Amino acid sequence: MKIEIHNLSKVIRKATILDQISLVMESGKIYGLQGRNGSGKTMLMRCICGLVYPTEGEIWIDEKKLNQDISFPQSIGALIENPGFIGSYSGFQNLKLLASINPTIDDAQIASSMERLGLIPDDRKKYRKYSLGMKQKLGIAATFMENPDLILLDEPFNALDEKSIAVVKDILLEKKKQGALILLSCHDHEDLEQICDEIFVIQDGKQIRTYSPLKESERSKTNEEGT
Amino acid sequence: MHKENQGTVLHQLRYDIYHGTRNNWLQYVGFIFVFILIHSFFLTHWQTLSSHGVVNASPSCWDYILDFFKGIQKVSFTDRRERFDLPIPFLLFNLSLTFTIGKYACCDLEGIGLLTLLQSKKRSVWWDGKCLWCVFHVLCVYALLFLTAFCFSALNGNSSMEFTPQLNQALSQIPTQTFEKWTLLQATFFLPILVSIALAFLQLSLSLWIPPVFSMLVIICLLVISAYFCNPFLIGNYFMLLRSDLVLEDGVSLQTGYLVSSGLLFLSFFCGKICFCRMDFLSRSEIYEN
Repeated sequence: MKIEIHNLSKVIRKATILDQISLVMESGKIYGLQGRNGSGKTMLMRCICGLVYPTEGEIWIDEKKLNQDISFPQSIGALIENPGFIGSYSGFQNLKLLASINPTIDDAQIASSMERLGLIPDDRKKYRKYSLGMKQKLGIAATFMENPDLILLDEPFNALDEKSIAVVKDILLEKKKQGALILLSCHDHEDLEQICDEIFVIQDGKQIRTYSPLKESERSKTNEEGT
Repeated sequence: MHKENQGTVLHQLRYDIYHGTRNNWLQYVGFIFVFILIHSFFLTHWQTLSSHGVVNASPSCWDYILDFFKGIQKVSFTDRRERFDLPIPFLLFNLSLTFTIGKYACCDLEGIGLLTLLQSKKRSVWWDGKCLWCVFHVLCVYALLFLTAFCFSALNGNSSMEFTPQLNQALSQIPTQTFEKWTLLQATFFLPILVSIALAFLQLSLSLWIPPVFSMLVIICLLVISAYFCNPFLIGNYFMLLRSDLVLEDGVSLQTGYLVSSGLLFLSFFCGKICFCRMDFLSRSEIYEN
C-alpha cells in the first residue's frame, strides 16, 4: 500500500485546520504524527480515513484518489479519538458486531485479538462498565483484528499502563513486519521514536519537520565517535 | 495481507438487522403493546354496540385495521360546537415509529457507527443499507399490526379476511360496502406503508442536516399539522381513512397519496444520499470548536 498526500488543506468555518500538508507513506513502515493538542493530527487522520473532505489537495491510496475513486481506504483499521462502542454489549459482542459487516474473521480470531491486549473474551462485563484503559484496549483490538493493510491510531497509548504500552508496541512492530502501513499520533516523542521509522511533526496545521529517529540516532552515534 | 471482502449493501443490511432489529427486540414489544391497547378499545366499542343489538357480526382482521387507520374527521376551525378530537391511534403509532427510526437509524453515526461506516467501504453502501433497514423496520411493524389484529379477530371467532360493512359503518363511520376490496386494502394498508417509509426516509435525510432529535420533532410537527388540516401535501392525511375521498367529497385521493409519498420517498432518498456522500464526519468537539 502507498499513500500520497499532496498539498492537503482543510478549512472549517474560516479556521485553517490543515495547511498544505504533503506526505508519502508506504507499507511495512510505522509513521508517527507528533504535535500538540489542536495541531491537526486528528483531522489529518480523518482525512486519510475518508471521513473528511479536504478543502484543497488530494489523497491517493494505491493510485486511487480518495473521495473520488474510493470513499475509504479499502482495508483499514482506525482508532480516532475516543473509542466508541455499544455500552450494553460486552467487549467481545462489540467486536463481533463490527466484524459481521465484512465477515473475514471468525470468533477465535476476535478472541485472540482481545487476549493479546489482556482482555478476556468470555468476560460478560458490559462495555459501559469498562475502565478507560480497557476501553482503549478494545479500540486498539478493533483496529488490527482483521489484519488490515492500513492501521491508524490516534493517541493509542492514552490511559494505558507501561506493560500495556509495551504490548501495543510489540503488536505494531509485528504488524509492520507483516506489511501493514501504520500511522500513529502521540504527544510523547519518546514513545514515537522507539517504534516509528519516520515522524512527521505538525504544528498549527502545518508540517514543520520530518525526521527518521533511527537515522538521527545513528548520526548522533557517528558524531560522538568522531569526537 | 487481509482477506478480500468488498462491503456490500446486503452485508450492511445484515448488520443493521442484527443491531437495529434483533438487538432492539424490546421496541417491537412496545409496538405490540400499543396495538393491543388500540385494538382493545375497538373491541370494547364493538362489545358495547353488540350488547345493544346495533351490530351482530364479530369483527374480522381487516375491520380492526380499518378502524386503526380511520383517523379523525376533517376539523372545522369555524364551528365552535365541534368537539376537539385527538387522533390517539394515529399519534401513538406514528410517534412510536418516528422514535424507533430516530433512535437507531439516525443515531448510528457516532461511536461504533463510524467504525461500521469505514467497514462498509463506500458511503453509498451505508446509506442504502440504512434506507433498506428503514423499509424492513416499517414492514416488521406493519406485520405486527396485522398479526395482532388477526389474533384479536381469531380469538373472537372470526378469522375471515373480509371487511364487514355493517361494523365498518357503525364503528368506524366508513361505508365499505360501496368500494372494491382492493381499493379499501390500498387505502387501509398499502398506502399507509408507503407513507411510513417516505416519512422514515425524510427523517433519516433531515438528520444529516439537523440533530436527530430535531428531525424527529419535524416529523412529529408534520403529523400533528396533518391531523388538523386536510391537505393532500400534508402526508399524515393518508393515514386517516376519514380524510380519504372514498368517504369525504373533498378528501385526499389515493392517486395523489401515491404520488406525494413516492415523490417524498425518492426526493429524501436521493437528496440524503448526495448529502451523505459529501459530508464531513467530525466529532462534536471539532464541530463546536470551529
